[in-house]
Amino acid sequence: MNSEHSKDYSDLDRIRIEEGAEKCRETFGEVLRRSPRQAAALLNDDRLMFTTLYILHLQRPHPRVQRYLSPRNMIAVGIALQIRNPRTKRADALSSGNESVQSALRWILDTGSPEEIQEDFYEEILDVAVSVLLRAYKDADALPPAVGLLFSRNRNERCIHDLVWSLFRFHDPRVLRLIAERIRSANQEDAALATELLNIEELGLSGKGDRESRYSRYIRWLEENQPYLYFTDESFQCSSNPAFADVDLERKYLQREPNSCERQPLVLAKEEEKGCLNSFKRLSCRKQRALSEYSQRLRSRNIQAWQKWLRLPVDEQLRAAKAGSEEEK
Amino acid sequence: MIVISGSPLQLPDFTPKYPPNSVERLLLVQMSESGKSYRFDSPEQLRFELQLRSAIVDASKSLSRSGLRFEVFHKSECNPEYWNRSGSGGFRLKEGASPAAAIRDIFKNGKKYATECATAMVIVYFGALLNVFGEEAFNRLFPSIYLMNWHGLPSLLKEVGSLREVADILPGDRCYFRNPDVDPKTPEMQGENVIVLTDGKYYGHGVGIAGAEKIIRLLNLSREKDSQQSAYFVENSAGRPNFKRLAAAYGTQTAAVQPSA
Repeated sequence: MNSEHSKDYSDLDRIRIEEGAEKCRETFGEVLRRSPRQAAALLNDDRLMFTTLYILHLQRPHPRVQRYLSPRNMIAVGIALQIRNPRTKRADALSSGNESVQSALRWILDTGSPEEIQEDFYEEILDVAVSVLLRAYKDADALPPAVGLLFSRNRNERCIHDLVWSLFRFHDPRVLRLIAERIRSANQEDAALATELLNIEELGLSGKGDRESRYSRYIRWLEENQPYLYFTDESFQCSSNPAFADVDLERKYLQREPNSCERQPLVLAKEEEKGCLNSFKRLSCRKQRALSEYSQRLRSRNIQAWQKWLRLPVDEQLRAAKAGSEEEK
Repeated sequence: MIVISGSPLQLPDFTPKYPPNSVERLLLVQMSESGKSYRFDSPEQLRFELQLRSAIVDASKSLSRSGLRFEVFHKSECNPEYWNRSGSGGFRLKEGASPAAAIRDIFKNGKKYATECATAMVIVYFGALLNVFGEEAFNRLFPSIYLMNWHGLPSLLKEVGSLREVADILPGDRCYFRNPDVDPKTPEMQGENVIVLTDGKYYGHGVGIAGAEKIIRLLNLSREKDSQQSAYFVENSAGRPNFKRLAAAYGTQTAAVQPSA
């Protein structure tokens, strides 16, 4: 939510925040008894937060206000119904390509995530909002609140698996950067989750030092590898320790950048390059990593030297890489 | 090829112990005909793997008949007599409850439970281990159980949480069907974890016992509009428990319950 407006609460939000959910329900109930139209007007307030709509109308819908609800609230009601009874046939409240749906989903995420209610139904609505915003609407602006939601939910020991899946399915290194910010969090749960999701230990980046140095190490690694990074589509559904993103070492070795963050097979025209790659593929993962890193460093320093090095047999490349790395130390 | 203590296994010496068409016999034939060498330290170690793989197949069939329902974690359900439902939707063994009785209850009263496909796979493993180890050893080896997809696996089972490249897909393996273009509204249909049975069949929770074609067809029903990519079976990739470590644990446990001479 925009911080400038955070103090500009609607009447119902103010009651919920200052006096609690029960008082808010009571007040709304009194207005509803007098005038459903007036009750709906309170819900239709542009400033209303999703959390308040949820406790007043989605947990237990009031049929009398339904017909007076604004399009935004009607969409939210439709989404909630769809999630509550997924097997019931009805019009798709989340159909893509519809600006009003996207706007309602953003409202749900932006105003519903700062004070997430720890209820499965509420969380499922938020999960679907994130998933549809990122995949169907390609809404990159939803990334920061979605990452915020992921970490706050993790702190509450609630289910994060679908949020994680949606974020990595977006196939965008910005997700890695947003998560990386939490490596330097003072909150241990945040730092531990960031470390797990970014595979910091498997990448050999945990090492010594404080939070800031771990963060800097990861950012340096990301900057070096981002051109060759791809998203694996692994998830917690298929693995206990998924590697969500990885480096295409073959492309890094030959310095061939792909045009997206998806793994793309290398198409090589020159026999020389094909032979080079075949020898590279037979190496252990550790040696592949060492060669690809050296290749990148050498090319950035001296392109002629790099071209000459790449023409050497792979054993000699390895020797040169070892000698070069020791010199750099 | 099967190699025991450095020597190739003579199949005719081993197969008669198992009925024709049994899971064990099929495994022996498939492993012997493979280009990969399956190495064992002793015949007992091989027998244990055959027994456990067969038990995994049996447990899959039992679970598919148990009435266990498919639900996402936000809607998961368990029998509170044995389990506490966690905030994440997983099932944690209740303090004081018998691990064996709690696992058996899922197979017996499946209708009281609802969960996603990965958790069902873990339940299959526990069911199989209970059958092989027996109640006493099972309770000693798995005193606390948390059932939530591949999270919180006990160290004796941690390998099943990762898919690794394998030369052969064998009965009792855990495999995966991926649905890359899944509809974002149904993340639970992003894929299907399965246990490999025999005759080209798989057990997947929510799908039941089916061939690859049916599983792919069902996953394809939950794709996003205008999808161009079908769901598919992830080839040459399987999750397997560390049979040798489990065999060692089994040996220790059975020795522990044998009366001393």
